[in-house]
Amino acid sequence: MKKLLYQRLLPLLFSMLVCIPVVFGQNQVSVKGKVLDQDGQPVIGAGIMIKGTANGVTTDLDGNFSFVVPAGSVLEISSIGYATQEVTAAPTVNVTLLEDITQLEETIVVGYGTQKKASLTSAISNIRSEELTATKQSDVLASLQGKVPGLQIRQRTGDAGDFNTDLKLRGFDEPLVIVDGMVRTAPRRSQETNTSYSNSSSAVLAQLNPEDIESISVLKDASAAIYGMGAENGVILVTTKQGSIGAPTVKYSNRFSFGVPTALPEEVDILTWFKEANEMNANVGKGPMYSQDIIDHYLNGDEGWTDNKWYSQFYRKFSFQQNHQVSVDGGNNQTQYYMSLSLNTDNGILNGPQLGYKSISWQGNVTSNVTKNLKVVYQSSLSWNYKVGTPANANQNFYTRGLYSERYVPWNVPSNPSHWSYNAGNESRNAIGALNGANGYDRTKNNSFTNNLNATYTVPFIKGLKIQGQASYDFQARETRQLTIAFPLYDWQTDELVSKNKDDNALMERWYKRSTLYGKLQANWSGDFGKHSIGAMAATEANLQWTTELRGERKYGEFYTHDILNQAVESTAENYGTRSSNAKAGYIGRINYEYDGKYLAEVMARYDGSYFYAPGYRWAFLPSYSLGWRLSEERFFKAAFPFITNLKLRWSDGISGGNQGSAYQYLLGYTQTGTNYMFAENSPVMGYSSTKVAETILSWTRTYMRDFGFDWEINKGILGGSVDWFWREQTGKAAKVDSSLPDMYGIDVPQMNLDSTQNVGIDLELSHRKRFKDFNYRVTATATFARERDTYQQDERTAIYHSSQEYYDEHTEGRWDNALDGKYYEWNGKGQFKDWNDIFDYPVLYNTSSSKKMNMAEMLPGMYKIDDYNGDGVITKQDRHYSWKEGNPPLQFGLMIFLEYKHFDLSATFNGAALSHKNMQMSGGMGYGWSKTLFVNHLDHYRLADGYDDPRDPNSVWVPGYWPALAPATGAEDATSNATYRFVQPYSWVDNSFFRLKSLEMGYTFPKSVVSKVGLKSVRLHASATNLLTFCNPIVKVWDPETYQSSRRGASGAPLLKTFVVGTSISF
Amino acid sequence: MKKILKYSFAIVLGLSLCSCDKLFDSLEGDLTRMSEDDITASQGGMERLLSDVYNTIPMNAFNTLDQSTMLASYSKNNNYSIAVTGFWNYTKMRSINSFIQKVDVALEKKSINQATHDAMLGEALFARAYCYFASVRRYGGVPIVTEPLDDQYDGGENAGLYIPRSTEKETWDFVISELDRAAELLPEERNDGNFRATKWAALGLQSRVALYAASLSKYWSKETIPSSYKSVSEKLTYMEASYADAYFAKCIEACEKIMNSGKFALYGGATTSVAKAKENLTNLFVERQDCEFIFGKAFKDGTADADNGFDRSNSPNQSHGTGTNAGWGNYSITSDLVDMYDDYNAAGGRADGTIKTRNDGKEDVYFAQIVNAASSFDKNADFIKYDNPQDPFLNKDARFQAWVLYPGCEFRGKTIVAQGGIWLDGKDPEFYQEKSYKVNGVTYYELGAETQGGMSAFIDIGNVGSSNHSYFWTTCFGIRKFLDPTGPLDKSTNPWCDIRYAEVLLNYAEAFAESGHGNAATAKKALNDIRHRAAFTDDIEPTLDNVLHERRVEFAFEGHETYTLWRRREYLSTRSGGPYRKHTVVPVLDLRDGTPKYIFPRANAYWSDVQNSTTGVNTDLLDYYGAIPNYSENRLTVNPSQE
Repeated sequence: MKKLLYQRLLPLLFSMLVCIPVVFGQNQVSVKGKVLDQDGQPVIGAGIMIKGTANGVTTDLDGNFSFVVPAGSVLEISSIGYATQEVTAAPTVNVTLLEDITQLEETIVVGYGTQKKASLTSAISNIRSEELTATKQSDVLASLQGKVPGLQIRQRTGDAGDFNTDLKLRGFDEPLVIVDGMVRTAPRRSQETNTSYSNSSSAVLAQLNPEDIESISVLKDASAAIYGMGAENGVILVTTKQGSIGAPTVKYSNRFSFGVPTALPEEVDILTWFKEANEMNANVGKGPMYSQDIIDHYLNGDEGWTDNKWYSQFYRKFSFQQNHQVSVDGGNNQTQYYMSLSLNTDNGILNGPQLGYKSISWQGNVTSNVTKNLKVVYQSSLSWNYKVGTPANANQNFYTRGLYSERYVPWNVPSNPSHWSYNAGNESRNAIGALNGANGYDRTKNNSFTNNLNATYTVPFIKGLKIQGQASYDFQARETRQLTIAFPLYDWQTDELVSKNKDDNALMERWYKRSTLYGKLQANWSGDFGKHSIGAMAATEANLQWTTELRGERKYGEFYTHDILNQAVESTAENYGTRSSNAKAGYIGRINYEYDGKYLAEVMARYDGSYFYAPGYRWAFLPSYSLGWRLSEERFFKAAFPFITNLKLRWSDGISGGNQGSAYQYLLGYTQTGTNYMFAENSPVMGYSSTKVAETILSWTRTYMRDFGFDWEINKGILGGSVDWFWREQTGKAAKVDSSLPDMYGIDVPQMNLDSTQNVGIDLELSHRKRFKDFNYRVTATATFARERDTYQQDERTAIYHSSQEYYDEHTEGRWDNALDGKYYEWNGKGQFKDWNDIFDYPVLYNTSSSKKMNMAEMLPGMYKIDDYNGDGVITKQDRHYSWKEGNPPLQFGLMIFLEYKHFDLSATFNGAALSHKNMQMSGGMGYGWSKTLFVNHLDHYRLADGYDDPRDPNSVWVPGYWPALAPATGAEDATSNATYRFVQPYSWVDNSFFRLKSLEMGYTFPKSVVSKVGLKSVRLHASATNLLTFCNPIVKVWDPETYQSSRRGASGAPLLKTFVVGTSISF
Repeated sequence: MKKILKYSFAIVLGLSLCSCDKLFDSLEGDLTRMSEDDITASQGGMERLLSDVYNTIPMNAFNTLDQSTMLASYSKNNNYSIAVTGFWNYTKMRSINSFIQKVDVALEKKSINQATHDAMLGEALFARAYCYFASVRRYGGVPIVTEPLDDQYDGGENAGLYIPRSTEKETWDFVISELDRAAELLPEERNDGNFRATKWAALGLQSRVALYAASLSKYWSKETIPSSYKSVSEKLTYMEASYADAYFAKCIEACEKIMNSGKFALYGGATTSVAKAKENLTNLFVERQDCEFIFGKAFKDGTADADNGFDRSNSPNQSHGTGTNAGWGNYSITSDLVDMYDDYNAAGGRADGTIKTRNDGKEDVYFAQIVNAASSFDKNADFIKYDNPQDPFLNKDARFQAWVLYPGCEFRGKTIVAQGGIWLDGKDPEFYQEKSYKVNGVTYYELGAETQGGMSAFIDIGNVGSSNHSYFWTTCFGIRKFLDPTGPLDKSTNPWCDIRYAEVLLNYAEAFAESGHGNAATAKKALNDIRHRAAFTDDIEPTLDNVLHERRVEFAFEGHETYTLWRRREYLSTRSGGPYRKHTVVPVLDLRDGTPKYIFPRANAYWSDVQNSTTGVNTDLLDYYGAIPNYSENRLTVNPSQE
């Protein structure tokens, strides 16, 4: 079958190359005309094309055009945002374009082709350029947030240039991102492991310029399966802008953005801190943390004793980001072009003068009608970005170290500000010094160069047949240079050298490059036969990728010289290098059928291969189909419900494939164990051991996707929406049937395609639009609810459970993800302990390994009672309840409002999430315990009514507060201290639902009549703000609900920013 | 660019003309993997596999160091160790068995010659015997798997994979006979240091194994583990006295072969100078000393993973100072061990080495080690007052001086400070506080120094939550054996001497003392040669007591003591069980007379041992046999403690 396809395609390809276009002489007629909109304003730049050809002109500033065309030609008049009209050529043609309200006739990009929106049978959302850029965001990912039902976007940190944002579709993992036909990924850096990058699709969107995008389609159901491997999580198709026919239009836009943290806990003043710290020690029977001597310095206002808020010092007053962009767009009948250049700088919110992020990117698209039937498109982008951060080891404990620093010690020696002070906190480093570059730097440059060459040949002798070929080449390079400096620390009072920062002087350089080559051949055919419309597509593609990485490291010893490797000590040199390549290929076919615009059907299949698996297991056949019924086109329906302009039922069902495990597991062989044995001194021999066993029977995962949905619209868009129920089951996930084999065999049984996971959910979209003469508005609301569960767990099927309790604890098969994992069980609270009597009377033990007396001595008033759910008198993990985990929340929603009045426009995007929890435990960064500061929000805690009472006296009177009495959290070091269980107290695990005004933008577009006088086509001014308002649990609000809190410090990663933006767009 | 063109061509060609898999087959493939053909094609490839075989050997290299018997802080609360190191890793066993097959393949391919083949086979047999030795001492009889079981896997019942346990005796005999085979195959010489097995390594290990099996047989207790237990009735955990004789004889035979080979001698030899003896005994562990080094593991190659980490973890706090690598004095030696080291009498012969702390000779009185001066301390006890903190230790065995750090000794240019208290006139003695007192215009520090950087012991005693706790000794003695007094602190590359000639001599002496096999004169010479190296001038008789005493002091921290007690079935009843506590002497600065003197009250080393009962410490003698892992999946008979 594969060969057959080629036997047919190849001759076509050759004929395409040798085909010489022939121009036939015809009668010509001269056409003049004017194009106006509904308000009688000229439409500038509208395209007038001779139907069926690539010839055409555009209107000028007054909407006029003139044109010589063959007699009897049909002209197509189109402009973005208006419905396309057709007229027969006549000497004078005046046209009033109607605003395209219904958009049902709109053509949208789908996998390997385009389709009319009305004919869609799948859950595909489409975002056009205007909607995407309705709010001026710095990148595409931010622009998408809240606009597409099913798309779940969550920003993890506010670090400039990390692109650390989670992108999920319907609760599945990251979808594929395909830019101009090619699968793309870009490096993403997770804040916590600073030097590790992963290739991610979300980072591609985060680095694209929204202005360069023509449209984005999101394939959410089985329609994504046409992309084969990796499409099991859905596909996002991005199409960049093409040039349009007409005089060059130059567009310049800029935006200046100022950011402040959306939330940042406020530190108490130093005297309050001294008091609270001493109270904290007193509560556990320790002497004061701060002597009266130190406190007196502040009470007396002694010179040199300042309040040094180390934590607050981390952040600038505001960050500044600017973006400039120039684009040129134009062309004639033969050639059209679009070029853009953009520049972006962002100094980030971290208060280090050298820190920041810069990027420059270029996009150039050229379309050329080489012959009447051959169109060639070349798209290319270049981007360069540069990030300066702190070195990894400094960054990892950055926030923690700031929190550990003594408040009374300034960061500089006051008598000699060029010296960083020694702060004998828990870590003897100076976090502010590190932030200011004393500790070195981490500089990363990313370069990417993408190329697409796309040729479309309209076959003249077979009506409706087009053949397309694409070749793409992407190159990505990354250079990281990381310098770590051991800098001297001085006593803040005597200015004597105390010690050095703990790090060695060291330098690391890492070079990474990746090239990707992609080729595709495709044929599309469509034809109408009466009421029957048929479309067909066949394609084949292949993708090859090569990756190389090289890393070198050296240390300097005591004496740092310059940041090149040759200047460091040669004997400390270490180097690493790897190389790998991969490939995939596929054959794709699809047939669409439509009867009378009412009954729609589509069948498609992909035969997809991956290098991962053994011969015989590499290829997967992935078929799918979808059906649609446009009920609103039925005569009886129109008669009964004339106001319903669209009602369509959709059903799709199909199989997609996913890669799993690591490549080449099927190969028998030997790999490095990573451990040397020395056969003699100074002669290490690396051990090799055999791989477990050939895993030849492992292959792809199969993902079954189903979607039932309906789209509806009343009165041409006054009200509309869609509902989608979706179901996905990923089967054939790798698992072992291992429990049946004895240890003596000495090897694991091979992994097989056994386990499966199911996702079920619902997407909703509701929109409303209305126009009253000058006032035009639309509102769109979206919501997605998605859940996951394991439906087959091999190891649980064979496991032996010794009790029903054990079954309950360990058996997760069939349970929804809020209870999938032991982690997501939590204890319930039963109110706070009011005083010591309350503690001693509580008939429950918190720890089985100590006596009641010791146990309860670990408590303090204000701590929460934990509900002894099973009533056995001891708090164990059996007392926990299901809980929603922290992570990408299962329920996410958005609301988009767009208003236009005359020349003013206003848009607002809200987004929110619910059904997730956040861990707010209090040790370390949360102000209790190790840290040397306390946040204002924790001041509301239990405390002794009379500060001089003995805190351990049962008769002492306690004043209630939300938080428990302060106690030093030494939990990590001492498992029996009172701090351990506070990690899981009910107040540590709080509801994280939120709703926020993600962006708000106001713009003013100068009237065309005004700007055309100064030779401009349009001028728009806008001002906007992001993350302006947030509604959420007040406990979470101190930290921002959207960020993750993956470490237990409450202070990892830069905070999200609230930004204020002003900008201008000018085109001429 | 060329590559791109090439691959573009390949794509078109691959997709259109050839079968689809061509594209994938044209990739470079997995560059992290070597095929079996590649590996067996050269000696270098086989050595890569052999490296993994050696790494499988469960050698004690710088790991456990007899912590359960000699490390004071290793006894707190439930941390008593009641197990010996075992081995239950059939994955690794499969690697060795597979290597044994590959050696033949390589020989067939002429990748290696016959001599290399024999040597490598011998090494693999040696390594496999070492593993089964570790298995049998922990579990009794175990399933003996001698080849990869691929033929037995049929995807159905897999009956051939369920290999039953051999009896304990069969397992011991298997290990011993395999070592005979290995000794036949292995070369007598290695010219690059004995980090690979030789004939002598196989025999040395065999003497250790045979002695172990012999002791087990002799001290097996039918009363404790009667045949009502299934594993006993099946003889999976069963030895009897009648077996012992043959094993002792085998031990003697293996030792004799080594002793008669003339290839080995004790490093340094006999000396009458304690100072010289101390120097020899230090060097013995800082460098490889070929005459005594029968088998061991190297750490010197200049890369990070070569470091054995010993100096970093075990040097006293004073060597580290503040700053880099602050504080890692992890090993606190008990006074029970220190008491074992003999003193020299005037003639250089043996004298009782018990630390003299009291004039009344009541050296068996111990105080609770107390945070606050407590009631158990008898203020009227008649302590000997020494002028210097090192005085009680100066006349001890050169091995003590070379291998143990004590108060007042010199190390890395510093005088070790390990002082636990102060006793002022008219006051109660005070312990473990960082305080200072002025007496007659002189400042005295309770812990012997002004700052923590100047001391090595007794900080934060009892405060288990403090991180300092693990940086300072909880007794006044620290480990010195294996420390390189001049090398870098952060990188220790001295080798681990796993089998040394001294062990062979003492194995001989013990087997003789237990069984009467062998030659009395040889046994006596073996025992006394070791003592003469430590500058003792007299000769003692090779009695069992003398041999065991010598074993304990000679092999301190080398991992032998735990196994000696275990095989003699004395471990659970003495060293780690309830009745036994670990002790120290606490050097106290006595200022009651106005002039500084030192007294050394004896105390329990770990204060919580006194407070807490021995909850959680299982002294059940059934525990001499560890629990069989995954017994139901493996369909194996369980051990007595699991029944």
